[in-house]
Amino acid sequence: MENMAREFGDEAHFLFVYVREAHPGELYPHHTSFVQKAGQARDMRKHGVGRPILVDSLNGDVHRQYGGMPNMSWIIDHTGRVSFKASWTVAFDIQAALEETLELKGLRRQGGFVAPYYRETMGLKVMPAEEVYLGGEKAYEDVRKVRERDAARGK
Amino acid sequence: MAKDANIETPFLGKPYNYDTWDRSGALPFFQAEAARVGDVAPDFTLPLAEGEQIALSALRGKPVMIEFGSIT
Repeated sequence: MENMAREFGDEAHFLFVYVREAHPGELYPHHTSFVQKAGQARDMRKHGVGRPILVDSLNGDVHRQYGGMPNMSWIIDHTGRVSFKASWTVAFDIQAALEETLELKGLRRQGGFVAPYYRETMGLKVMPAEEVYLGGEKAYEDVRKVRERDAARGK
Repeated sequence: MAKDANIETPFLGKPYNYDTWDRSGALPFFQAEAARVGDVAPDFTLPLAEGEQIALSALRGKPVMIEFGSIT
């Protein structure tokens, strides 16, 4: 996403909203104060985020309002309307949706007759065999337990 | 800090800031109340990690791509 943010340059704004830790552990625990949350948000810089980082409230007010998924992405068009949303951030999808949003903006400004239509798709994300859990050993153990539970259920 | 007073407000029946991930808080896709494609995006104002505030509505005129996430 960082490369894409650079490539789109002045054409679009890119924001990162820092929300609750999805896989808290001993290295990055769950938030118990806004000051701590803001501190961990600044640590996102060490993990490669160069975009503006916004810090949600401790209680996750904006996160809840936008649907509560841990790594969702939204594109808001130049008029303030939602043009794309996905429950996971996948660069390929964002690239295509953002290009389309910009193309529509250009067409509208040229007086083009643009008819919106609606579509839904479901994507599947292939998870790496060995994921890195930056929260620490505990975060990894939490995931391992759920995977074992799923395997026992035959999911 | 006033914002800290909301810490106990649950989300989908469990604490918003849980200390153990067990997927019980995972949603099918989005909470039903969330905006739909075509809706005006709910406005918000949040502080940047480094300080000043940004309002979504102040960014109109260009598309805004918003990624939500955390370190873990």
